[in-house]
Amino acid sequence: MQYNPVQTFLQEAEELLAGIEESALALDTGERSEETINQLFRAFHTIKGSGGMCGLDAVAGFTHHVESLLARVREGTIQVSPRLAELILQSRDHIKTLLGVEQGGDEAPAGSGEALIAAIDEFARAETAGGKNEVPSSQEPAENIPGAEVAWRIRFRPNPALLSCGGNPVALLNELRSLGSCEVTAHAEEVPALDAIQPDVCYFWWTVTLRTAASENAIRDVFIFVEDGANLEIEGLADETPREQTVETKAASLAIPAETVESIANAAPTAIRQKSVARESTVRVPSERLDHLVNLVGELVMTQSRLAQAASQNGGPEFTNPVQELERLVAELRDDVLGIRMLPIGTLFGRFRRLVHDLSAQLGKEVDLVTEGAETELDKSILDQLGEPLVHCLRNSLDHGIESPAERCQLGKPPRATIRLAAAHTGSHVVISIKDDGRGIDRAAVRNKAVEKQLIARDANMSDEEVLNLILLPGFSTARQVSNVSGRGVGMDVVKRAIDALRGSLSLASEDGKGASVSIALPLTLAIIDGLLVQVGDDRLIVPMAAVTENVELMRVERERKNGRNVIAVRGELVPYVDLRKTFELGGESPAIEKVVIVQHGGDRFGMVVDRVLGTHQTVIQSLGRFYRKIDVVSGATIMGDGRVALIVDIAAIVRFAARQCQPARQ
Amino acid sequence: MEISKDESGTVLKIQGSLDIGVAEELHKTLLESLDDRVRLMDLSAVDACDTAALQLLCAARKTVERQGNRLRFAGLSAAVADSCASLGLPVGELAAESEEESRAV
Repeated sequence: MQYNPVQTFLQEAEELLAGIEESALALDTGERSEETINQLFRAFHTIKGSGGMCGLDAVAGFTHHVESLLARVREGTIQVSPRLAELILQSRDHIKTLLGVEQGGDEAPAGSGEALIAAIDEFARAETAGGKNEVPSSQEPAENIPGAEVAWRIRFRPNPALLSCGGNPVALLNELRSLGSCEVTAHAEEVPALDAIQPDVCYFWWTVTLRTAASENAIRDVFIFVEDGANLEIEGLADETPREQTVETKAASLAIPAETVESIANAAPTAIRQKSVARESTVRVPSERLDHLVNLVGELVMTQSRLAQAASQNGGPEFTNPVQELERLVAELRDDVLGIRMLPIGTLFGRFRRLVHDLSAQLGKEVDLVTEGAETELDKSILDQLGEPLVHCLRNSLDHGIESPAERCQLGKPPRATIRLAAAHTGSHVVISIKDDGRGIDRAAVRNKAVEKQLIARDANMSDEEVLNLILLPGFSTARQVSNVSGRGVGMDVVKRAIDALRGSLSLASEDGKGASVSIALPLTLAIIDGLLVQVGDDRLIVPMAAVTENVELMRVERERKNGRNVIAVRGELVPYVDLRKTFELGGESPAIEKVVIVQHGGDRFGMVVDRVLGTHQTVIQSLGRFYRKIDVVSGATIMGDGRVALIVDIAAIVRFAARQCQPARQ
Repeated sequence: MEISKDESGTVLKIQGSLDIGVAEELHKTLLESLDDRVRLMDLSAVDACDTAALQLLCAARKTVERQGNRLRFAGLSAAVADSCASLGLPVGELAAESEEESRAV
């Protein structure tokens, strides 16, 4: 693959923009955090610099204005305010649009950039004029008094790849020299002999004593492009720090071992602070390559099972060991490769923070989004499809669930509402819950609506839970008027369907006046699952193992005794079952003793009658292709060891299908 | 870039522009030509010298020192001297020990 600096920049910018969004939302609370402001400044600075280098002048030009604004925030001449956060968010969006143009996206609306720049300038002017009389904030007095020179000791150990990446230490050091008087010492003791040296690796490291009026941040900014993988320590020295010490270091030149330098640094009694920047090394890989890798592993798993089958049937005993070894290796490889595709769900949560911020402003509500378990990992392909349903749930909470601040005060609740978005691992599933402290789901309203829409009979006897689940039915929406936040004609049924498609399950809970919650349980991965292989007639089917609770036997006599009612007693409890032979219209006679695979679905158990249970099977899920898109009772297919195809049963869809078949009979 | 040895085999003369682009080549040539007779490196005809090249010169000095001998650099060109100064490389790392030695080249 050809190295493309623009592509790399675009990827990097994407991450930076996500970081900017997060930091800006943190600023929104009006709290001044040096760390956050620095992060913002650096992110914009990097976008400006790298963008300029890649020839994206529009991006660099625009970013320059934001950077100048932030520079003044950092100096303390402009205070942190919600308006500032708003401007940063708008700027971030504009930069995203500009970057999108590079990737073939739509052009930014004409004049939008100029308008935003004008707004930024206007804000800066107003704030600076207003804030003039204020006493500068109390932080770091020594650094902020203009003109007062402070001595700094800088230890810079570059990333070994500095030179091969086109980094130039001379330019870097000259930039430091431009800040003030500088004593630079290069340390060459780590340069190996010729037989061990790699010509493009940087072995030198530097200590610099710099006397400057510039702040630590200004010094750090010099290193902003070479920080990755580097070790940078900047410490303030007391003004009296004898200059001779530096001279001594220099005069002694190579005779000085590293420890001495270390001890001098440690001995400086008035070191103000010390911070080293070391980052983990990571590799950027386009997700298509990972998907390809997963596909390859899938094929490998299938080939391995064919090989195992062939070896057990025709192979000699000498095949047994290698085939078992191969099975172990393939399983390990599969787990690792799937592990690479796992992403923390926090990448998704970040987006929601912005959504909640924008929507609550639009609806005139005050809402905090609290997230938990952002580090919980989920397969990338699931994460990609999870965004929409979660957005819909959040919109619902914000629009229907949460009351206006005035209403909340009347009810004795704090005016700021909280939506809690949490993710956690439970066994082979990840459970995501969205919980608000709003008015809860009005069960009476739900019931009335369902009667009105003829979804249930007027006198239907339903449990609380069943009533709640009515909102998951297609076409159900209790919003009196259609707002542009939620209630766009699609309802929770879309969410339910999306979650079903991900092989997940969804449940609702609500407490009147206290709030509602939606929990979504999702499998960890979609590519390869553990399946239970079953046989009906000549056909084989796979039931996802995660749903299977047990298998029981069903005698023909027992079936006849129940008089055609499809229920079976499992340890004293009646469990309904679906006859897969009838449902799928498969031919053949059913054996005298059938098997019922009992599965868990949405809190209920139900059985599927099959001829035989063949055992567990590592199932590589293959999609059926667009010709079979309309078949919803199977979610995919897999290729067996003997080359035959087995369909994978979609449990939720089977329940729906069976219910549809029963309905005419009931009426 | 060019490296040549005088008849005595003790002086190695490097000419031309030394930068990361030729670092690989410089490394190879130094490995080949730096036998245990070389004592002096003549840098008077070096037009440019970047960080990577300076590292290689330091490595050359270390290599010779490991063999128990000393390698001296003589006739530092302005380009080499400038690079050393810019990088803050101590004079002892890369310089002629004395005037006489420079003249001896």
